Amino acid sequence: MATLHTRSVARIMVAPSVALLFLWMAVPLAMTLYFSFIRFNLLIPGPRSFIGFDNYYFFLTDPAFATALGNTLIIVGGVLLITIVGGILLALLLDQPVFGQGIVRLLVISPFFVLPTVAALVWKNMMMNPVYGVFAQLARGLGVAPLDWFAQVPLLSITIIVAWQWLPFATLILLTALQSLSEEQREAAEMDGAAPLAILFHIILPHLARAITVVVLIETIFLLSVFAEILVTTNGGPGDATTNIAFLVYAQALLQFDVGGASAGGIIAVILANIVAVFLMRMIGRNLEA
Amino acid sequence: MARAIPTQRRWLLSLLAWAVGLVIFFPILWTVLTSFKTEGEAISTPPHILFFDWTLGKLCRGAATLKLYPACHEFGGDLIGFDPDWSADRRAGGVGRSVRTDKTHQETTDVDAVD
Repeated sequence: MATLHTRSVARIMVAPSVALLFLWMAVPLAMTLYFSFIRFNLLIPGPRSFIGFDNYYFFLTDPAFATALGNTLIIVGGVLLITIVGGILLALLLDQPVFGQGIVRLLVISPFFVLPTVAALVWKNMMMNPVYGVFAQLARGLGVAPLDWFAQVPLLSITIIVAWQWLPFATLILLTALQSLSEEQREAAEMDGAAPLAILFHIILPHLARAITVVVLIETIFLLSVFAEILVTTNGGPGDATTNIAFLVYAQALLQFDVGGASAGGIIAVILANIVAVFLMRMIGRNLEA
Repeated sequence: MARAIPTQRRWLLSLLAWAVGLVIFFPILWTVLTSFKTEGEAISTPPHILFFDWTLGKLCRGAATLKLYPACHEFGGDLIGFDPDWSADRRAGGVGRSVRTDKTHQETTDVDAVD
């Protein structure tokens, strides 16, 4: 029973962490909002005057903005598709009794422990390099002309790298969900003569619905801000073929030194992420209700 | 695991699971293997998968760069061609030399000619 006294003590005790959270979250957001309304270019000295929504107008009418928005959605959608489908298949496979199950699971989960920058460099230099990359070597071994991944299919390359990193996460979540499916239910369906595919679509997938929702929501949050993989592989190029919103904000701030415009871009990215979140919660969030 | 699985099915599943697991793990495995190669061997065409001159030179240099390890004398630093001042090594144009493990006290050899 919480008395008035213990409640006020509890408030005092959580106060430091609340203050810290406030400092870390609210203050940067407020400063970004402030910067987004003033003229603030590091290359142009002079008074930082208030210019209203000019920064927003400038960022939204940037020809690269539409491309960046499309690229962001393609990366998020592509990685989600690969990780969900691949994750379900992998979870089904790893759920079977196989020899050396622990080691196989470790192998599948291992990409999750590789830092994004390192993963991107490994893929760029050792897998997708058009001369000595493993894919090029394989293609040459088969007598096919090797593909110059980052020049010919840059967005697909980024998507593959990011999907490789996130596949273990989806597999893990879905595997644990799969393990909570009672064996009796599956057995009963089998005894009633259900085909394996019918069991998959009518028993396993509905059972996984909530786990899939969790994976989609968490991955979307992180995939909207994919940055390291782009910076170390293509640097947003060729042209703006792999520039997403996060990279466009970076380019605005640190390549064009336009802090005001970049702040406006950051606020726009926050708004877009919220729009995506609202749609996601509408579409699949009801799975989370108990 | 309430039910018995036929052995043949179990073997097939194991084979499939191991194949998929190794494919997903492959970039990491390849990175580990490459870390034992010299610069020249790392980019050789066709690649030497296991039968190359294994060297600790690059790993040593990495450890020294990260300040995890002072120098590589235990591994025969000079023998491997490791120079603690790696910028000096770079100036000299040496991108990595391999050690001949069979002839211990011989001069370092330059990057093996590819193939």
